[in-house]
Amino acid sequence: MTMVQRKRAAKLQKTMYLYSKSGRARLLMLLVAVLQITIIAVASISGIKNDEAYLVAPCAAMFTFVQFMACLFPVGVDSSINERVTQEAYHGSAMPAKFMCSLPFEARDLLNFKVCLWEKAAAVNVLFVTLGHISALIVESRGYAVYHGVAGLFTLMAIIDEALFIVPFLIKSTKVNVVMCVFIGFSFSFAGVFIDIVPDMSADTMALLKIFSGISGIIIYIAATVIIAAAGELYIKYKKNVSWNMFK
Amino acid sequence: MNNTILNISGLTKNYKDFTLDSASFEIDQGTVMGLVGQNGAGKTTIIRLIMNMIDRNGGTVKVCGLDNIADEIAVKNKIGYVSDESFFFYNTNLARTAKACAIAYDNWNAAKFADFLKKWELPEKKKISAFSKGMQTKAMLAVALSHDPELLILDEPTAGLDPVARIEILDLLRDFVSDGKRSVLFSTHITGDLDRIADVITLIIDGQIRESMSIDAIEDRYAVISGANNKLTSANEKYTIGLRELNTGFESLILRENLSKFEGVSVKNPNVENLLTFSIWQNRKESSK
Repeated sequence: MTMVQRKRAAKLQKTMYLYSKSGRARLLMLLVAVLQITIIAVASISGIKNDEAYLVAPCAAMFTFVQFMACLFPVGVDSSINERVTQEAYHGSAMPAKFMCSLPFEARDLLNFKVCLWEKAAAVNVLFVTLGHISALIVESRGYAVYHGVAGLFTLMAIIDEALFIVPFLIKSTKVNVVMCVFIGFSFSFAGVFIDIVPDMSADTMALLKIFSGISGIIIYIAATVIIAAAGELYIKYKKNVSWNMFK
Repeated sequence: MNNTILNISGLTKNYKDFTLDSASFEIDQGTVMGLVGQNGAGKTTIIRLIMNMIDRNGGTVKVCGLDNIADEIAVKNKIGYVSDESFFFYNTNLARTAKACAIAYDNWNAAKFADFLKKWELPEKKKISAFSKGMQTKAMLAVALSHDPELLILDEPTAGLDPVARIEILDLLRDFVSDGKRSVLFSTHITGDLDRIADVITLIIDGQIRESMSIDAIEDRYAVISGANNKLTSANEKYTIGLRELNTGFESLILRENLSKFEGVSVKNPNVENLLTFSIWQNRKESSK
């Protein structure tokens, strides 16, 4: 995708967001996400001390919450909500779609716009998971068991991810979104497996494995991002006769 | 100098149960063209193809010499589009719509849009979903006209409107082309609208363009005849178009050049409705053979 195409896709996105309630909802949710990152950062860096064990439990809970949000927010915000806006124009009822289509955008801009969303969703996933892992490792290095009991949650999140996003996207058939959700699901599953094979994550002797666990999750997410971006680019490059394709 | 605003050539779209078959026609500057045909004839399909809303299977669409897909942005800037139903997002209002248009269009004229709202008494902050049908059509027209388009495309704009709103919109279309540089394409099956403002009509039946001619040429080319059934013979029946035989007599459209084949019949000049209805009946007759 060229810079010009990206700019036009951004212009289309801006028009859609300005024009739709779900776009404004997305901005609100992003604000919540930013607030959450701030809380996590403050809690993980300055809130934990050896003699303040009572802080660990809520922090640990928060980290699991982060991991959960790592699934829900990026996919939820950047794919589901955006996708809903997009689908109003792309798959939705003829009424809003006709309006977007009558505006001076190329049908290809919509494809570019969708790929931008997929890339962004994947990138934000990486950001959240990285933050979660780094924060968890900081707390672990202070001798507290953050990952304890979280393994099952990772698996649960993978299932939720697939249930929430794959099934609807299969029905609405946006292939790259399906691929993305599969990757996210796999990532959580892998993370769960890595943690599950470690009997006691708080033991210092397992530090290397803990780091490996964290890094592997990040690598999987980065790989997913790169693959999604590449798949999106190829999808646009080789798709011929692009129309708004509203009335099938 | 080429003064063609819209050039459609060999436009084809295949559906499972319908085919738009190699449609071709042109619209010159300063012209109002009525795209006329029965429901399901392919009028809306042509408009959707011009707007690149659907994939085409063949042919080309050029607006002011620009391809509607290769130069989609430039083409959309030149087109004002009015749908047969309100196309705005649900629960939005015209103020927010204007903001979206200002981002999208290169030459959006906010003052002109405000003038239209004032002139047509359209509330800026009221939800569009609460507008009447006439208000919604006027709102779409206000959007379509506020970026100075060269071609206005309207898909059955007058359907469901009261007579006053209809006449106001038709007058507006006539004003729009009065400078001789801009054109209108509008689809309708209300033939009275075409008699009122169209310069040219394009008749489409079952996905095929049957005629694309000036309104004046209809009278030059065709005639409607009627008479007693005994005036219809096996020799002259083949010259009829959409023949209707009743107990009281027959009625048919014919090419004016074939008038001499019929003796003792009444002759009158056809209007758009005659051309449409007799052509449809002829098509049904041929399809049933």
